[in-house]
Order: sequence, then structure tokens, then C-alpha cells
Amino acid sequence: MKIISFEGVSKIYNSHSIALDNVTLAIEQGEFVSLAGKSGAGKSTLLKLLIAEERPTKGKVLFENKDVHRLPAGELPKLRRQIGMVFQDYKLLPDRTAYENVAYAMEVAGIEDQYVKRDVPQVLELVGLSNRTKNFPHELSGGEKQRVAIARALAQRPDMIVADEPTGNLDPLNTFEIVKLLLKINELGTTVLLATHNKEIVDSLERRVVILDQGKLVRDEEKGKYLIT
Amino acid sequence: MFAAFKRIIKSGWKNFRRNFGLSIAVIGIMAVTLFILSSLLLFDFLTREIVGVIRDKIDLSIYFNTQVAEADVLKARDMLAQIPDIESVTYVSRDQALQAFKIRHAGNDVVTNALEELGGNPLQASLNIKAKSSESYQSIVAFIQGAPFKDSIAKINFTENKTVIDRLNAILRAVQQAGIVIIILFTGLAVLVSFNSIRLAIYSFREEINVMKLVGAPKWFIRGPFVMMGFAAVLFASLVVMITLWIGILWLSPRLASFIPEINSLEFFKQNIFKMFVFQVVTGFVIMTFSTYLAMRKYLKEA
Ligand SMILES: Nc1ncnc2c1ncn2[C@@H]1O[C@H](COP(=O)(O)OP(=O)(O)O)[C@@H](O)[C@H]1O
Ligand SMILES: [Mg+2]
Repeated sequence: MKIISFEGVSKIYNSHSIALDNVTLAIEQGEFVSLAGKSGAGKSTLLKLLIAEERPTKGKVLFENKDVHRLPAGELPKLRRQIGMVFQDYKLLPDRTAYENVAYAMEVAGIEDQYVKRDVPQVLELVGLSNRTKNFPHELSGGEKQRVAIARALAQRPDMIVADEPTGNLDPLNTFEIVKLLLKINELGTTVLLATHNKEIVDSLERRVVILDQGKLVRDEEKGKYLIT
Repeated sequence: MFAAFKRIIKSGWKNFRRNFGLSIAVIGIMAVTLFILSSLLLFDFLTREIVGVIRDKIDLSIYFNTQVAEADVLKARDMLAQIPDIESVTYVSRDQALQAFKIRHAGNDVVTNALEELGGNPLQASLNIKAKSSESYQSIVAFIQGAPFKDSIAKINFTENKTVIDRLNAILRAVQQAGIVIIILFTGLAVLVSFNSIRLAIYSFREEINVMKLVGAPKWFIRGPFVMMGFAAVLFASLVVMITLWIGILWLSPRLASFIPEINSLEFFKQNIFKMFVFQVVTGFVIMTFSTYLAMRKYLKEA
């Protein structure tokens, strides 16, 4: 079953910046897809369209068969809870501890306290941060911060995890750890869409690769490599 | 629903504590705003009281010849009571006047003996008139001098320092009018300053608001804690203002009383302390919530 599909999507920020040019793309439930391409290729734009942070100039973006840009008012927060986003700059709440950042993601969904108390330690354990729960973001390393962000996304039990250059600020060891974590999450059944310009990551994954170049989808292969054309 | 409310309160309080410096700054701005507002209102109240006290000091009494029948005096009273400029007419009968005279001079043998010697009641019945405004006395006197009962009048007694009182009244009236202008002006300025400070405070949270949005928080869930934070700031600000006002009144009250003993500003403050606190909390909360709402709207807007 298709979880997301882009149908002839273009995004023009302004006349001299065409970020996406007629992109058509579908992702099946349970897939692990890498979205590769040079910096400026349009990867972030594609992801922003998916969570309706930006509107497409042309075309449709469907999530679970619903047009995300035609959602009734008030449905947007729900969409964003179904798609767990992970960013290069982590986007944690600076005055909340690791535990509170993860708990916040559950609280916004109106989940009862007893389940929050049960699940937060579990996901923090899953990402290997059981001993960091009371630390504030500024007390954590980059890799740890990114793991909090992933735990936060997981706590919402999303249908899909979307990561935009999650390893962009990390050293090779932490990069490897984060990618491993994403693979583990995928094995547990969650669809993963990983945007990156890191050739090594893409090549090591041996999963489906979609390559963007100057806003155009130029390659889409199962068990692909990041070939620079 | 209740659970969400509890979360919002907790989260707002957390924000308040963990951004202590910012909270203190907002409390300060809010306190200055509320202080300006409350002290201007107090000032307005006090000048109003002073005008009242001074007005009460002016009065007009008509004394009737002793031969005039009580019924005629009462008729005159009823006639005067019809005049719209007159607030009240009080009848003091000859007996009441004598009673009061005796009490006033109790123990004074000379006066008591003289009274005895005269026999009967030498005192006159009188009507005590209070006008609604000090400007009306002139015309009331003119009316009395042309009234049908004018021949029964022994004398008209009108406070001599009327001109001084009139002048003081005019000054107070001017002060009051200026006060209203100042209240509007300063309140406007103070509200503007609070509004901008709150906008700046919210601006410093713009990244966090964006994160909350991306995590899928509904708008009300994002706004809630900021409203709570504002409410906490307003509560503290109101407390600070009440304490400051109390100290101010403690200082002012004896000084004002030595000048106008009829006004007990400390007592007034004590009696209205709760009302004033509620007034400040409500006013502060309205300003705060309105500013917060406007300031946050920009960051909560969807693309
Ligand atoms: N808000 C924006 N306004 C104008 N141009 C933008 C905006 N965001 C991105 N762009 C442009 O769109 C193109 C694609 O950007 P982006 O999607 O961020 O690429 P990537 O994530 O692959 O590096 C770039 O040329 C970039 O300059
Ligand atoms: Mg990008």
C-alpha cells in the first residue's frame, strides 16, 4: 500500500529559484528510502511539502491517500504527528529535558499521563539514552541530541519517519549510530524517508535510492547507489 | 479536557521558572503599567473626594422670625425642595435649636442663667440648604429673596469664605480634568510599552513555537502555556503593585489627613484592597492575553 505519493509536484519559490520540477514519486508502506542529491537539489523542499510546511506551486502530495494541502483546518497537527520529523538542527525545546522533550510530543496528542510515563523511558531506552533523561539539550552531544529527536518522533508512534540530513552535524561514528538506529526503526515496521547528500551513507544502506538534481527526479532505483551524474 | 488544562498550567509554570530572567522583566513592565494605572485612579478618586468635602463645607441657612408658624416654615421647605439645583433642605425647629444650644453651652452658668431670665425660647427655626453644586448658591439666594415667604425671614446666613472655596473648587476641577487626560495618555503609553515588551518576549520564543508546531501541537496547546505564563507574571506584578501602593498610602495618609481630616486614604485603601487587586489582575490579564495573542498569531500562521 502506498503511504505517500507526489503527483507532478513543482515548487517555485520565486522566478529564479525552481526548487522542484514536476516530481512524481510513490513510497510503499514499510520501505526505507534514501532521498539523495547535492545541496540545493530540492530535498528539504520535498519534505516540507510533505508535512505542509510549504505549499506546492503545482501538483498534489498525498499521505495515506489524503491531499495534505487540502486538509480541513485543524487536521494539520494530526498529520504532523503521523509523520515523525527529524532535522539536521535537532529542533529540540531548549528549556525542556530529554525526557520532557519526548513527553511533549505525546502530550500534544492528548495521550494520558500513565501512557506517557510508560512509553517515554521505553523509547529513550531504545535510542540508548536511559542515562540522559534529565539532561537539557545544551548538556547533550550532537549525537545524543539527535537521538532525543528520534525518540521524540518515535514516541508519537508515527506511520512514517522523515529525516532531513539527520547526520549533517555529526562525526562519522555518530553518523553510523544514527543510521543504524533508523534501520532498526524500519525493521520494527515504520516507513523511513532519509534525505541526505552523504554518498557513503547511501551506498552502505543498499536500499531504494531516489536522486534529485536541480529539482528534477533523475534516478529511482531499488538497492541503489548514489551515482553522481 | 481537564488533563489538558493541567498540562498547560504545568507547562506554563515551567516556562515561567526556566525563563526566570525574562519573567522578571515582564513582571517589571507589567508592574509599572499597573502601578501607573492604579495610582492615577487613586489620584482621581482622592481629588473627587476632596471636591466633595469642600462642597460640603459650603452651606446656606435661612432663619425665620420667631412669630412664624411652623407650618409656614415647612411650606417654605417644601417649596425649596422642588428646586432642581438644591440637593437637600433640612428643617431645624426652634425646639431642636434650643436643645442644640443647651448642649453646646452645658456647664456654662452665665449662658444658662441668661436663657432662664429671658424665659421661653428665643431661638429661631431655620432651614439648612445644600446645593448640588457650589455655583448654584448665588441663584438660590436670589430666589429666596424674591420668594413669597421672604417677609418671614430673619436673616440669610451664607458661608463667608465662599470665594476662597469657589477658587479652590475651580482649581480642583481643572486638576481633575487634566487627571482624566493624563490617565488616558499614560495608560495608553503604558499599554503600548507592555504590548511591545510582550511581543519581544514572544519573539524570543519563535523558534520554540515553530518546533511545537512541527511536533504536531494544536494551536491552543501552544498558546495555552504562554497565556499561563502571562497570568503568573500578572499575579506577581499585581502583588508588587499592591505592596508599593500600601507603602505609598502609609506615607501619604497622615500628610493628607493633616490637610483635609475628612479623608482617610489608608482606611479607603484597606476597605478596597481586594477590589483593587482584582481590578489589577483582570486589567493586567486582559492586556497580557491580548498582546500575547497578537504577538503569537504571526508565528502560528500556517504556510
Ligand atoms: N524559502 C525559500 N525561498 C526561496 N528559495 C528557497 C527557499 N527554500 C529553498 N529555496 C531554494 O530552493 C532550492 C532547493 O532548496 P532545498 O530544498 O533546501 O535543497 P536541499 O535540501 O536539497 O539542499 C535551492 O535553490 C534553494 O536556494
Ligand atoms: Mg536541505
